Amino acid sequence: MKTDSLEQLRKELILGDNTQLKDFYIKYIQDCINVLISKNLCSEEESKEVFTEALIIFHKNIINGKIQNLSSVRSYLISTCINLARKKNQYISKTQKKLDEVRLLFYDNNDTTIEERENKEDLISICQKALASLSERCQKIIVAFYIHHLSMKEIAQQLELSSSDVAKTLKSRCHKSLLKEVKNLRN
Amino acid sequence: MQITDKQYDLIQKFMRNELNESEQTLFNESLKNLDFKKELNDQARILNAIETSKDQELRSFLNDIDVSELGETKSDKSTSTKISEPKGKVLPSWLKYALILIMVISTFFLIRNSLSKQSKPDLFAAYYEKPMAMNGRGTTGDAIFSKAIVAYQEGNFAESNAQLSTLSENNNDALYYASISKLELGKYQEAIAGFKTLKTKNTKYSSDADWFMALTYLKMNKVNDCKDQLNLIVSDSNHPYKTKATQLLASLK
Repeated sequence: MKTDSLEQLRKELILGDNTQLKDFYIKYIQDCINVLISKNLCSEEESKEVFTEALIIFHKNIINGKIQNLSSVRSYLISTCINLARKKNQYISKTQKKLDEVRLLFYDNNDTTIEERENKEDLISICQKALASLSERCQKIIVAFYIHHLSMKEIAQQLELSSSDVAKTLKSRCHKSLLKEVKNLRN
Repeated sequence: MQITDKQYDLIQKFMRNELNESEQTLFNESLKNLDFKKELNDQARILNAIETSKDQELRSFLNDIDVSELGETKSDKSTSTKISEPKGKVLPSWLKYALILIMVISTFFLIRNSLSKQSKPDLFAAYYEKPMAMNGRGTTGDAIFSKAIVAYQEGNFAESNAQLSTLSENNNDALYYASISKLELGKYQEAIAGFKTLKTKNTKYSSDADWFMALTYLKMNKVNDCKDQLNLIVSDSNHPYKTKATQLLASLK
């Protein structure tokens, strides 16, 4: 895959356009399943799940810039599938790492008084609703900044905002609205 | 929860690993404040929940393709099978002639295609030259490596591949000759994987890896991949294989 195609793919994924990802899914799922089965790594059903996870990792790594050069999407997906199936590659997201770090801060102080009022599934559902209640631009800024960890400069470019300062102001406003909405939904 | 704007900024920077030394001190002090800690915990959980929900969305989007798109393709195929089933009707004469014409044209293209495919191995043979083996004892001093290089020189690629592959993880010389051995053995995907690793590691074989990767694609009849690889070489003005790559590209056009 050429660098400019890779950059184009990254831009599309950042903006939430998953058309190419869908093409890769259709094009390579069978190859990956065949490899996993032929290596006796998993069953056909499990292979499908592994392939989906591999594509999610691919999606993340394209956006966060880990993949700078890629001569073959197929080879990348196959090797990721193999590593996943062999449990050599367990993807831990940055937000999960951060959450673990925060928890460690609490335990370090021997303070376990912080209550986790709802379980994770409830919180996911609340956050989904809260995010969906924001404008489309706000949703994109929050995901780009907090999930994809893009810089303000890049967010401004990708979302066609006039400057990174504008992006920063919008980000703060959107994030505060999100927190407020989550709080409302929790009560 | 009541936190100040300054504390909010501290949490924001913490989330992005952007705290400087003085801010880190302030952050640590703020941890004594229960509201601050609750807010920090909440924000970390909320962001993690959003990422998880985004992953779930993507997962269901992909799983839906599995159900709908592939299903459609399959059903399309079955529909077309049904359409092509003989219904016992006599075809009109114009349709017979049209079918004959289509068959003649397809035969022509099939023959032309197969002829052009036959020319690829010739091109490969014209450009491929097995690299000379280095002195086996010179670099590694390893008995297995020396033995493998002798096998390589003698054209016993099964042996050289078997021996070199055991060393190739930590030895770039071994990886290079193992990849060439794989190419010789027709293990093209493995050869390409080896060349890619040599490229990624940015070894002294990077340029050679570029060239042999292009030739491997040619051997596999993956003309577009071969062209991409050659274009990569040509775009580098200092690449030692630039002239050869330019010539091969011209031959492929």
